[in-house]
Parts: sequence; structure tokens; C-alpha cells
Amino acid sequence: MITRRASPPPRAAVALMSRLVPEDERDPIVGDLTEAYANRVAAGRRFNGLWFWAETFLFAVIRSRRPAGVQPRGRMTLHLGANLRQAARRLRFEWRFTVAIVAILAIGIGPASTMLSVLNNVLLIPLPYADPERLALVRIQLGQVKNHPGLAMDEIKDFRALQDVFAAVEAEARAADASLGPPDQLEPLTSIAMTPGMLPMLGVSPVYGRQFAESDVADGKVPPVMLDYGFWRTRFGGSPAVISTILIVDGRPAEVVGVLPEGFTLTTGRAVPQAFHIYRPLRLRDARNFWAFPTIVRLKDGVTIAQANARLDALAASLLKQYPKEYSDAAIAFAVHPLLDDMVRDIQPALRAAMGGVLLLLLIAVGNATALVIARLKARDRDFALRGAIGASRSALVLDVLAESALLGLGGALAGSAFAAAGVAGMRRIIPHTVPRWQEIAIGWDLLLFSAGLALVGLVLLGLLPVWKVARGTPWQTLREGAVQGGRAEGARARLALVGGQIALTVVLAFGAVQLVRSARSLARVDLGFDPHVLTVRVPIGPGRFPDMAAIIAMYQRVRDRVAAVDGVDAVGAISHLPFSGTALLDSYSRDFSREPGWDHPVANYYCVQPGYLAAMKIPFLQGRDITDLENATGQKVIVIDETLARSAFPELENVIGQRLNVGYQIGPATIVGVVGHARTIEVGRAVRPQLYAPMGTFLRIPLNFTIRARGDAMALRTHVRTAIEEIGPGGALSGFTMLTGNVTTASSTLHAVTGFVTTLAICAGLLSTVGLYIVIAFVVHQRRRSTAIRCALGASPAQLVWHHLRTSGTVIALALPVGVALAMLAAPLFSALVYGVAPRDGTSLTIAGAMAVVAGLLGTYMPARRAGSADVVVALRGD
Amino acid sequence: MSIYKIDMTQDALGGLEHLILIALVRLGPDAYGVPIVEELSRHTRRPVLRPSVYLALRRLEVKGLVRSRLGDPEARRGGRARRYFEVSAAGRKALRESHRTLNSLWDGVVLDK
Repeated sequence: MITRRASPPPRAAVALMSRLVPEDERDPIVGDLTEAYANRVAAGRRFNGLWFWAETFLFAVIRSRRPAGVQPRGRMTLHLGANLRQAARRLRFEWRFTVAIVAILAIGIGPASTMLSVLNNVLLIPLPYADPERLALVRIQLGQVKNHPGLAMDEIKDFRALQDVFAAVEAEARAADASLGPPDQLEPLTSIAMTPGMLPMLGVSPVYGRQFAESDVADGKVPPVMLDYGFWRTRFGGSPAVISTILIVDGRPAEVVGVLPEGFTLTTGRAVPQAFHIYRPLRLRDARNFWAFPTIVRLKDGVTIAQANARLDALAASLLKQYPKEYSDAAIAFAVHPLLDDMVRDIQPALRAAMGGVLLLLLIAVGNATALVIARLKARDRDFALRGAIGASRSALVLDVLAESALLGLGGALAGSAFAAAGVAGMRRIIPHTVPRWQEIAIGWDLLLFSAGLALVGLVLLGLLPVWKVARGTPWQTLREGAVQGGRAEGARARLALVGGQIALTVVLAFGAVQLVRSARSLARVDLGFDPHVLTVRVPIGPGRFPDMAAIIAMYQRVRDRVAAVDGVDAVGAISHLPFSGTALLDSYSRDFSREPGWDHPVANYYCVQPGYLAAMKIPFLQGRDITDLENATGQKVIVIDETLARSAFPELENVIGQRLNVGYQIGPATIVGVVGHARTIEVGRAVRPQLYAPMGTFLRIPLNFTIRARGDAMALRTHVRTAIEEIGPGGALSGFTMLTGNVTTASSTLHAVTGFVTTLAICAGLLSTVGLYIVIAFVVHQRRRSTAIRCALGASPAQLVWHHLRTSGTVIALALPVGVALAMLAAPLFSALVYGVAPRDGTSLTIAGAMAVVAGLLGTYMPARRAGSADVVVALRGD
Repeated sequence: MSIYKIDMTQDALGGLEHLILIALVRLGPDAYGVPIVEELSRHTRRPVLRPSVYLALRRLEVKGLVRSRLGDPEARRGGRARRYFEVSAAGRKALRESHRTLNSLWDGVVLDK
């Protein structure tokens, strides 16, 4: 026989059991349980500790159901079940109070749970790749260009040589347009190319077919494609037979070799990973002068981010020595960032602000609920005193209060979860799609968990103060007091302090809301430098259709002229990269013509435009003129620069027309023919970089986006514009047909969403503060009804009585305001990253916030105080 | 107060109390909590709630149907004593009575399925 070491049952459970059963039954019952436990252990059964706890729990619940007529042998000291049942009965009886508390808690818990769920989904849930914490994105610094997410192809090979640091180094090419099908029925698609090792590195396998192989990108091989799951379902009916079929992509045959799993997105450098219709293999060529390939690395096991970065510093130093010309002796640096961190970096300030607001509201709600619980407890003072007087132990009374708090907290958690579920559903609707992983945000079990956790926090806060008050109670004094005196406002100070705290927190929240609302307003008023009310159409070039650049330019000019002839069209332009499309070209410029300007020189955003674009966008000419059609068609090296570029490159010149500028490797030395105003195209809130516009002959085969300004509703012209463009026949599938204003709205959508959210929180906070003061003052009014009645009888006017109460809360508000202002000053950094056009600690905002809190407070006082004056003197004096 | 005082021996036996009495008879004079619960669990098809058993034992004792005595402390029980239960004369009488009643009631009764 196997002898087992007799381990004792859980000590805490034994202790609890011992308290649960009457003293004279303690030995037999606890002994029996201990023996049964030892038997289970000896029999080799599992979960014995759990079993013991379950038995203990049964005793807690069942022992209390003592049938009438059977006298207990000893005093029961702990009656959890009975306490809960009594509390439930009381709360059901006083259902108005219960509903009020649960509602208040739900207002606090709901948004907090919602936000926690959002944070959890956005920041904490790992990316859907294998071992995602070892994946990192590479960012490069090239001179003044910092945190650029694209490497040059040769650098990717250099990274791969560091085999002791990286287990894999894989890259993607920037998204591109593609056209599916024969020329007469083209479908616009989005596509992206990735190195064949990308999916294996991410641990993603196709649901059908195979991975890309290195042989797919070999010389002379026609590159195959993989299909996005959703695209495969909608376009190919989800048939596995699609594998090995040949599609016509951009006029060339491409074999389908695989279908990617549902929901797969590629996460590289862009905050919001998007799904593309088709994926193609990317071939690494030899190039060290085009930094356009976002790269992900998988760190070798045991290698930390810091170690990898140290090795990359050494790599950068040696590359600089080896290729001084490519890097132009400018500072270069590589750094890897954990993939998820990199994705959510930009959204952090918004999330921080929202979370801060939510926590403030939670504090206010809990404070409010506590004030209400204490007020009610005060009403039960005599009940407690009486029970204490006839022998109820202090712990019994404390347990009574705790049981009630537990039930209220539970109710708050449940109502809060329901509220939060609605909140998450709403959040999915309002959350801008610029928030990374917004699609991950869903109603889940985590919500309930968060609500329960928050309720627990609330419970402790809610329960402690009343418990302390009960525990230190002086029964005789209370009993005497109720009978003899007119009812002092005893305990009102604690409640007023709680209300003061709420008012102070309201100031903070209102300050945040006012700051954000003002920021959103000033951002909406920003002069972008162009008029975004234009229709945009992407016009790619069909493959093999045009022999050379001149033919392409001529075709685009014909498209422009044809669209301009459509009835209702006012002006037409075309540009390589639309404002706020998230992509732009960068190049450096200098006045030194001895060599090509490298990364040691300042950089500008560089756009290819068709003559007429600047006018169509209403970007004003300050000097000179636009590029002409002739210059465009013949590939003249002429450029139009914006005012910031003119100022920074030629600070000493008034007129820069005719000056020459050496622009990057794409254009080279070029003559300035015009100066225009700066147009904000990257961020709404600030001018990011100087800009220059060059004729499209300078950049090979980049599809143009047409911008069409209409006299009336531009969207109504869509079909006419499509017909007009197809008449000319550029050969690619047209896409877009959206208003540019949408891009602008998206660019500031995060701020708008946070503003809406925090404003809602602030309104809730204001309401809660009003309700909080209302409750406390109403209670004080009720408590003092006798002294009030006496004063009335002695001739005090109702106005005097109202004034009396207003003075009380006026003092509270006066004390709370400076605290609130100080807290708001401390909390200002929470919102400062989002604030635009207002000082982080703006005085006006603070004044408005303070005024809002004062109004909320006075409103909460006036309403109940008015009732004091109208009370019936006789009834009040009689009542006890 | 006398209105509320009910002669409990006249009271009908509760279901669980009835079962416990029979179990006590089966177990003999040295029955205590652990074997009682085990015996009941063996014969009933529902889980037996330990606290309910103790409450029922207490009720039986109040009704005078069961006698109890404390044993000596035991190391296996963490130095705690057992309470042994035994059916009293009144208890035996009540059991006999209920046995008779049940037998005569059941006599000739056939349940469908």
C-alpha cells in the first residue's frame, strides 16, 4: 500500500469553517470534515483542497437556513448567506435607492470597461503571427529623415548576413494597383509584393496551395500570385479549384499558387494593416539608393531588441564607411522596434487621454455612490444602534454593510457590463479606421471580467467608508440624539467632502473635454492651403499599351482635356500622390550642383503633377507660373516650389523665379518657374516638409490620380468622368471615385473620436456631480427638517432657507475648485499630445471647466434646497 | 408561548431525517458524521449535502429520536473529537411505526413503469 503523507486541509478554510459552525458543534463537524479530507487524500483523489473549500462554502450557505423552532446552541458569528439574503431583501424594498446606486456605478463602470476592452484589444492581444513578440520592424534614419520604415534592397541583404542576430529578414514592397482580367473588362485590384520567406517567417500557411518559393522570383519566371481569403470567397466563390488557374493580372498571365488564411493582413510600418486582393513575390535586386521596402525581422532566440540594435549601430557605421556616396556622409542609423509597439505608437496619446477620462469618471461615480450609501446608512443609524444595544456584535453590523455593498457592486458590474457591451458596439462604429487593430475590438468575456474587476475596486471603496463609520459607531449617543434633538447634520461633513472631491474631478474632466473640443474646432478651421472638395480618380496605365514616357504623358494630357470637356467640370488636375493618402515621395535638395544632393541635405516632399493640378486644387501662385504642357511633354527640368522651400533654400532672395535647384536623384538640376503656397498634405495640424512639384516626365510609370473640381455635385459626375476616361483608354482599371474631403476627415478622425468620447464622459461627470450634490443636500435638508421648521415658525423666509443651503455648498465648491484646478494642471499632459491650437494649460479652458463644475454644483443644491422652504411646519415638527 | 410549543416527537419524520435514522440503525452504535454521510451517499442517487445532514441530526436530537455523545480527540482529525450518534428508544419506535405505515401503504400498490 502506498502511504501518503497526511497533508492538512487548507488552513484558511478550516478557520472559516470553525467560525461558521456553533462552538459546541465545532469539534465534531470540523473534525469530520478533516477526517473525510484525509480519507480522500489517502484514496488518492484529486482536487482535495478545492473540495474542502466547496464543503466550507456549503456550510456558509446552508447553516444559515436554520429552521424556525430550533434554537442555536451557540451564537453564530458569521452568517454570510443570511446577510446576503437580508441585504437583498432590504435593497429590493428600497428599490429606488438600489436603482440609483446601480445606475451611478454603471455610468462609471461601463465606459471604463469599454476602454479597458479597447486597450486590451489594441495594445495587449498579441498579433496573429507565430511567436509575435520576436518580430520587429526596422526603421531607418537617413540624415534628417527619421523613423523611415523602408530599407534599400541591399540593406535587407546586409541584415540577412547578421545570422547570429536575426532568424529571418523579410520585406514587402509598397502597395500597388493592379488590374484583373482582359482589357475590355478590367477590375481594379490592390496588390502587394513580399519576399518569399515572409509568410513562413510570420508562421502563416496558405489554406490552399503552397507558399511562395525563391524559384518563383528567378530570372525568366512569370511571378505567381496568392489570393486574399475574402477576395477568393467573393470573386472565385471559395473554390479550391482556383489553385493553378491562370489569371490575367495587368495584362500578364499569373498562376494562382495559394489562398491566404481568413483575416490575414501584413503588418509593416503602416499603423492599420490592410488586406490586399492579391499578393506577389518580391525579388531582391541590387540597389542601395531606393529606400522603399518595409522590413520585418525575426530575432533569434535569446537576442534582445537592445542587443539587435547594438549590432545594427555597428552595421550602420561600417556601411557608412563602405558606401560614402550612397549615404552622402549623412548620419544613418537602423533600429528595430517590436512590431506591436511600432503599430500602436501613434495612437497611444489618444488612448491615454480616453483612459484618463474614463478613470476620472469612475472615481466620480464611486464617490457619488459612496456618498449615497453613507447618506442612507445615516438613516439606518438608529437601527444599527438598537441592534448594537441588544447585543449584535460589531462584526455582524459590518458584515451587514459589506453584504449590501457586495450586492450593489455586483449589480453595478452587471449593469456596467451591459452598458459596456453597448459601448463597445458603439465604439466599433465611431472608432476611426486609422486606429490600429480597430477590427479587433469586439464584445468579449474580457468585458465582464473588467467590469467585475472594476466593481470590486468600487466595492472596496464603496464599502470601506461606511464600514468604518459603522465600526466606530456610538450607539447610545445615536439613540439619544434621534429622540431629543432636532437632528444635527452630523456626518454631513464626510459626505460634503466626497461631493467636493467629485466637483474637483469634474473640473479635471471638463477641462480635458474643453481642451479637446477647442482643439477639434481649431483643427477644423485650419487653412489647408488647398480646397479638398474635388473628386479623385486613380488612372493606372495598362501594361504594354504605351511604348515610352512621351506616349504616356500624351495620353494623360488627352485624358485631362477630355474630362475637362465633361459638362459640369470646372477644372481638372493630376498628381502622383494625393494629399493625405499616407504616401509621398521624399527627396533632398541643395544649391550645390557639384554632386547629387544626398541625405546630408534637407529633404522635401516631391510630387509629379500635370499642368493644371495646382490651379484645380486652388493652391495659390505667389510668384511665376505653372509648368506648361510643352515643358511637361518634352521632359523639361522645371519645377514649382512652395513658399517654405523658397524661404529655406533661398533665404536671401525675394524673387526665386529662374533660380536653379539641384533636386535629388530623380530630377537633378532644375529651374524654378513658380512659387505656390504651402499645402498641408501629410498632417492637418502642421506643415511637415517643404514641397516641390515637377512635371511627370521625371518619374517613370507612376499612375496619376486625377482631381476633378465640379461646378455642382462632383460625385454626380462619376459615370460621365468614367466614360470620358475610358474613351481615351489608359488601359488600367479605374479606381477611387471618392471625394478628397474624405481623406482630410480621416486624417483628423482620431482626434474627433477622442473628443467626442471625452466630451461624453465630461457630460456624465457633470451630471453625476449635480446628482451627488443633490443627494447630499436633499439629505441634509431632510435631516434638518425640524430645525428648519422651527426657523420657519419663527419667521424665516423660504429665500433665507434656500440661501442657507446654497452657502453650505458654495463653501464646498469654493474649496473644491482650487483642488480641481490644481488637479487639472497636473492632468494636462494627459491631453497635451492631442491639443492643437490651444495652450496645454489654457486659462480660458480652465475657466470654462470651472464654471461648468460650479453650475453643476449650484444646480444640485438649489433644487433640494427649494423644498426646504416649502415644507409643512406642523408635519415636520411632528415627524421623527 | 405555549401555542408555539409543539410536541416534536409527534411530528412526522422529514425525508432526510428518516433516511438518517435508518442509516444509524444500519451503522450501529459507533456512527458519526463521516460514515453517516458515506452511507447516505452510497444509497441515494442525489448528492448528500453535509451541512443538511448535521442540521437534520440536530433536529432529530431535539426531537429526542437520536442520542449523541462526544468521543476522544484524534490526531487524524486535527486533534478534534467525534460526536457519535445512536438511535434512541423513541427513535426506534418512530422508525418501527413509519416502517409499518409504509409497508401497509405499499401493500398491493403497483406503479406504472
